[in-house]
Amino acid sequence: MADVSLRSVSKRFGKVSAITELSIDIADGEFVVLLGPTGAGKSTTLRLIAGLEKPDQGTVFIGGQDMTTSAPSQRDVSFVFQQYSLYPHLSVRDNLAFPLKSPAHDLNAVQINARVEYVAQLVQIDHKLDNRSTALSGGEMQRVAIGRALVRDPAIFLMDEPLSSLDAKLRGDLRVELKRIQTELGATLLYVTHDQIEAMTMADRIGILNDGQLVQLGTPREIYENPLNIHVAARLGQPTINLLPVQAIAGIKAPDLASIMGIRTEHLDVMDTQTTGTSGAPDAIGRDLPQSDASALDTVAKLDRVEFLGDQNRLHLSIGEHRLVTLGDGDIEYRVQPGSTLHVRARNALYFDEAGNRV
Amino acid sequence: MAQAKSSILERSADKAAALTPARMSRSIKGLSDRAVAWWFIAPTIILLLAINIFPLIWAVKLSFTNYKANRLNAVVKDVGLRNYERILTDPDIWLAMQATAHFVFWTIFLQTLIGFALAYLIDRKFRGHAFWTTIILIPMMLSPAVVGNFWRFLYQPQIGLFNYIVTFFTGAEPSSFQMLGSVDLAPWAIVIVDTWMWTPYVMLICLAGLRSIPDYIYEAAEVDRASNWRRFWSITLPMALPFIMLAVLFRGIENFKMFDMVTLLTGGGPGSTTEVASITLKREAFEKWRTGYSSAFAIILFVAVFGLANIYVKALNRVKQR
Ligand SMILES: Nc1ncnc2c1ncn2[C@@H]1O[C@H](COP(=O)(O)OP(=O)(O)OP(=O)(O)O)[C@@H](O)[C@H]1O
Ligand SMILES: [Mg+2]
Repeated sequence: MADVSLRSVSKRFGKVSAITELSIDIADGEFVVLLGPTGAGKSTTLRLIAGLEKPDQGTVFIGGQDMTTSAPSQRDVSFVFQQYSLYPHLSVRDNLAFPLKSPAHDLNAVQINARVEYVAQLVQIDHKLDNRSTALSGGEMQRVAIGRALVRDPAIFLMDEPLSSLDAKLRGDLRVELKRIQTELGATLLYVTHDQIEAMTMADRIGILNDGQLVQLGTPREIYENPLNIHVAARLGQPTINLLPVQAIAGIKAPDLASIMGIRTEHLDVMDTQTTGTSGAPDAIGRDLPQSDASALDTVAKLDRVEFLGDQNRLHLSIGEHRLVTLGDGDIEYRVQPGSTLHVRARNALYFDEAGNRV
Repeated sequence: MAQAKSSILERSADKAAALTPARMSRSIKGLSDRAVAWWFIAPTIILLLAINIFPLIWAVKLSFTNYKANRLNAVVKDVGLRNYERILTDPDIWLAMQATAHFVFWTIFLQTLIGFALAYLIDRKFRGHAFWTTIILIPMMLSPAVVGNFWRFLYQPQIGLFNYIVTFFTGAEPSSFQMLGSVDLAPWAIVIVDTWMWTPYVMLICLAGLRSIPDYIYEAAEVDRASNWRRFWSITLPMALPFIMLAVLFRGIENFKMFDMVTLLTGGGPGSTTEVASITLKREAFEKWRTGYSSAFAIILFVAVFGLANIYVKALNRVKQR
């Protein structure tokens, strides 16, 4: 295991600038998750570390050594590819054993086999060990790909959306399992995902990439509670944060430079206007209602739609032409109908300036 | 074989019927989809029967007689299996089979080796690789008649370029050896020409095989720290193997019935050193006019090629499924 640093690395593909001036330090034994929209350069970042792409500028350090121009085989990384990249002509067993047969390992057949079976069990593919790797479902292939990375003990694990095609239950199992393995081995791991739960639960730190740039890097809590700009704020949160132009709504008291207000769904409280009126004591519909902080937003909204999700409801509201989403209890639809008017009030709002930066 | 063909046809008729859009089948009144499909493939079937299947059956029939095509009025006697017996015990026939085996083995060996090596180099995508690919393909595009005559000149002991090139490298007198006239060298002379002409073809098929291996497989192998050598043996070669085997099959079948190049270069000589099976067959059939006898020989060759090819295709499928 080793620490990994990128120093102002840039990579272009023809006219497309995939990565611009990216610097990141990943400590030894740290679990870093990269989040970002599609095309942000997440895969490219992993490939630069693995040595599958050569940076146009900048330096790549692995274990303190300058590896910028080293071949992938010299870097001792293991990679779970986004498109699996299994060896199609080999069985699952041979796929898993492939990295171990490198002379860098010097293991005998018995040791290799023991290691392969252990890993196969870990990723729950041991019943298919003798299948051809092309005779597998997408989720099974993905598990083999993860297994092929885990058989080794590399300087850093690079995983590109490794759980994306698994069902919810297996994904949950493997998420816990991966985190456990990482902690146990003290492994350095750089992980790409679109899944918020994976990012929040597994990461020591989350890095938000956008347009080839690292926008913010911090603990999950920092990223969630203290986003540096609108883009970061919109990355995390299910449903995504509500964004309202400050001027658009009468009665909003916002800081001077703020032009956009962001309210996380759990910070948007709704009250029934029928029973309370606009000024009465709040009669909570969704859940217990804490006192609002100086009522940054305190107005009336129309309920457009209720989405029943089982444990909770999503309420789609509109204030004039602006749409908002908030959460309510599972049985809220018995109390209010679409089309009715509700009172909404925000807590802990985040404010952004014209350019989208926090104020 | 006739039976196999017709079952393939039947299956394609069914398939065609299944693929016919409902709208179309309804507009052809009074005919079921299947019947329509049969009408569409009938011309092909009739043509096949007339020029392939019928002569084949006729040849089988003739192979049991002493028929001679140049004596139409002679009495044709049924001789049973005598023709087959005589062929299988005829030492000349076995010599011809040996010459054929030698020719087939060495051409396949050399063409696969050189063809794959060239494909491997071309696949590196060095500068100007498209240009070199075109250059390499030229021999394959020439007519065998041109190639045969052209090499006859090259092999000329006095004025031929080939002998001079050999001289340049070995120092032997150019006229001290005759590629086409010497018993020892003539079989190799033919192997060289066939290799020169058909290696590009094998290269093309191998190149298709190499290009079919996606880059990301190599990337995974690189990350897994496989050496170049191991990448070649455990990825490149096994993944290209079905293509290589296909090339071997095509060249094998083709060279088993090799006729044109041998006729043009040596005509089977000197003596009968380069007399491959098809030349013997032609001599028996159209010089000695032993039609019944040569029919039997043709059937034996056909069964041999067909059987070998079938075994081989089974092996090929196993490799592909691995
Ligand atoms: N080999 C390549 N050739 C040309 N452009 C490329 C290549 N690889 C990536 N790009 C471009 O670089 C940018 C970043 O791509 P990258 O694959 O890193 O995105 P990503 O963040 O992994 O996206 P996703 O979430 O969809 O996987 C994209 O605009 C992409 O089109
Ligand atoms: Mg990607």
